[in-house]
Amino acid sequence: MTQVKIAFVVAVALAACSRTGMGSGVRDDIGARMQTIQAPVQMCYAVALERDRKLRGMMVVSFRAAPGTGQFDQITVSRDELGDEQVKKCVVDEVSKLKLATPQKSAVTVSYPIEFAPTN
Amino acid sequence: MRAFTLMLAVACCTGACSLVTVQQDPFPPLQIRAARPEAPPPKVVLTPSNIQISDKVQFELGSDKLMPVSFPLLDAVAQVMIENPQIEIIEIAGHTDASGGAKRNRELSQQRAESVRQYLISKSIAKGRLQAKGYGPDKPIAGNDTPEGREANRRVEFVIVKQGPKKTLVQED
Repeated sequence: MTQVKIAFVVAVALAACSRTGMGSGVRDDIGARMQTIQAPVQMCYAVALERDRKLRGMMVVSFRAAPGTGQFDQITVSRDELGDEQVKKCVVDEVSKLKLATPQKSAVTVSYPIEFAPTN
Repeated sequence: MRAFTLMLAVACCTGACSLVTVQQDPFPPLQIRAARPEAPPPKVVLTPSNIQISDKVQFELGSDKLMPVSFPLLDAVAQVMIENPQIEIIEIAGHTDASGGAKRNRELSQQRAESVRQYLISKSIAKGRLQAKGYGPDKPIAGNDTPEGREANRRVEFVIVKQGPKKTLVQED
């Protein structure tokens, strides 16, 4: 009987905890917001390539979608293979303009990878 | 036991479960693509008789001190020498226009050629491969009666004095 109770508690706990994960709706919302910065960041990257033709690599930008408003804040670059300060600033500036279309009651923390590569 | 079970369940629902990490799949990377600008023309070109440079080697006015703007150009010259070990000796020839005294101009052009030599040595080019010679105004390539002509005459050239058969660089492990 005790084992059954423990199993019940674990099941309840897992069910409750699963609610702390990011729902697919929020995930899609974040992905859609990030797509909107593609064009301006691309322009920044094109300018950066004029300074350094070899510039390429991965950048990971971490941020929070604030509770209630969905505004993206607490933006940091947690990984930067490019090492170009102006591209980094451009990404942070563009992400700071974003907010979720459907704000959540709780904060959502995100790490979002951005891959830079020249086309030629 | 029933009370304990209930408390545990409530605790989980009210936030204690934040200790549990729910692993999310990472987001697919946002792809940023842009075209590189046209490649700039090479700064230096190796010919059978010299290393031609596309820009002028710049010095501070009346001085043998190299201006940093010329460092990339000289780096490219050094790179050509590294990649072409068959070039055994080059002469770094300094030239001036005819303004001022010829003696002073010869001295200055010698000092400037020597500055270039020292720079190349600092870039791992063997001393024995580099000769510095200041010609002053003695070898003009244009008239000294126009600003353009004088500008053309103020120059540094890299003349191949001696070279052997083409060698192949061997990469050592």
